[in-house]
Amino acid sequence: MKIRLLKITKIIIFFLILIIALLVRKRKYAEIPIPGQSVDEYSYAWVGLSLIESGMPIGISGIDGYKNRLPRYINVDRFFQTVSSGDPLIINYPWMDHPPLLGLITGGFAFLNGTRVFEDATSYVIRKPIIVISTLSVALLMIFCWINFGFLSSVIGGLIYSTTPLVVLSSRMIQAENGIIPCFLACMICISLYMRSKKDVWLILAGFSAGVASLFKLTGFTCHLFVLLALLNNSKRNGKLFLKDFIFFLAISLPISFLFVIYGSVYGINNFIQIFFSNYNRFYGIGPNSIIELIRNQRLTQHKYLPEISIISGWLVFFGYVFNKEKNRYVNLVILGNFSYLIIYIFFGSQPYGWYSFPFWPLLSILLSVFISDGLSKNKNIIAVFFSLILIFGTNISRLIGIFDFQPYANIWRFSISVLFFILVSKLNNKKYINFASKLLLVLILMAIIYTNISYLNMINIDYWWQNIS
Amino acid sequence: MNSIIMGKSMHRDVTTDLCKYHVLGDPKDEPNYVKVGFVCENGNEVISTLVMSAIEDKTIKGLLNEYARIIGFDPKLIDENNFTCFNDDKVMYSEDDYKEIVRATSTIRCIQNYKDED
Repeated sequence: MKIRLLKITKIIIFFLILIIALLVRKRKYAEIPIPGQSVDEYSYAWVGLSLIESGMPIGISGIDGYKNRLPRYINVDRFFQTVSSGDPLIINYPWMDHPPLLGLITGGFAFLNGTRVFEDATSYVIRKPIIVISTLSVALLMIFCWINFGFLSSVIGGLIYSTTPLVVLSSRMIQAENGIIPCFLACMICISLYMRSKKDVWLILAGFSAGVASLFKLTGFTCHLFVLLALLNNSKRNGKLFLKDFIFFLAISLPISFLFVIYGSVYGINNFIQIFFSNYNRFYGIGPNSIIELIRNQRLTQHKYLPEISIISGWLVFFGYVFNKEKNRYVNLVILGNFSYLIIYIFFGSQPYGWYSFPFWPLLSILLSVFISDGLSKNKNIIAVFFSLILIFGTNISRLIGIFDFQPYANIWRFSISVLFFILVSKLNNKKYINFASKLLLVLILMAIIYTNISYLNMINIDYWWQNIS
Repeated sequence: MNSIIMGKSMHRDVTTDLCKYHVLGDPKDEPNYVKVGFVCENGNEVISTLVMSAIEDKTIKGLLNEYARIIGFDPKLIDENNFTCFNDDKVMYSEDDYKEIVRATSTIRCIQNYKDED
């Protein structure tokens, strides 16, 4: 009875976090990020809409290789009165930049809501499905943590990923990466379950998730790479076992991924190949400093930065775990996932658009949550856990109140933080009651971080966006 | 296909104030532009720069219709609200004036309740 009650409580908490995730994503979703700052959002929806209506995918492309190019003024969301640079939008068809799945979801949703022309595919309509997909990502992240690291980690991971402002804002954007994330997480869940049970069904589902991920964008092949690395790592040098598993996985995933080639060839294989290679030969704008930029400068678009300390802390934890030889096999799985996407990120290159880095964020949030929950439950790396939480909390406060408004609280801050670190470094917290108090404090700081995350999100409106997010 | 791309929105706000909105920015395609401006009775003035290649009907009437579609107003309002339009400095009175092909870099300017002082 007690166990059942505990289970029900955990499930209620799980759904409560999902409700928080949905609500913060939904608030002002059509206004922030400012519609039109990434015209890709419209392009995806237009591709799906035109594909459904006329059988011809029509969208905006920044790449060469298209024969059909139409400059047009499509004033959706009054784009030409808000963020336009003055140039008309360049419409290309048949649009083959990426596979059409995201377009079919967003454009299909718009079509079902009565949209028939491009100008009616407003962010109010087309961003709705992506909010649902992003909330699903929170659920999958929590499930992954719950299965592999326990409920505490799942709650911490869920709360961090569902409220971190950068993640929330990015979750509203129609970018293929927001479709890849749930597939990647589903694939990771399936592989972790396969490692436990050795049941083929998990490998089949991992193959299915990986295949679907690649129908959002070719960078979805990160799932294939992840499975390759995970199986290699898990096979313990048993080459036959690895090959058997991986070929089985590919037999499921590749036919799904190959649908893009079939789709492309319907509109002319030569055209498809030409666009494919134009895409491949794009300007390598992320540059050789891409890794440090990933770590220190988080972006939403190409020019909108919103550095997020939760993500930076996630990177620090990632490095810590990479150096740690005695890591949990499921932590290892997340590290392999992060490396898989890092390889894809570096290989695919192109401009440093913020959305290319979105798939790192759930993985880093998982690592951060495992790190914090290990600190709370096992007293592991407690100083470092405090350090990262205070980093995040301090930054969140400074976002909410300026340095002058902070002055009345300066003494509280400097004394409490100094004393806290003194206690931790001098190991006074080895005493039972201080240990309990320090853990209680950890929970309070964590709750304060979630509260300040949501407060900051509530603060962001159009004026704040233009004036403070550069 | 064109109807999906260029079709008029059913939901976007339509304005009756021709000086409320303009097209932001200046296109990079420099020699291939045309300017469209409106001067209203209340003193408000807007000017927009459009790229010629994005205008299908390249007559002055076609340009004004396309501008009205982009901004979201009924092109009949130009007449109904008593705007007099100029092709650069040349005033346009007749239908034939509006059938002329727009010359690149020209300015089409419409002034409300214009009084010819000559």
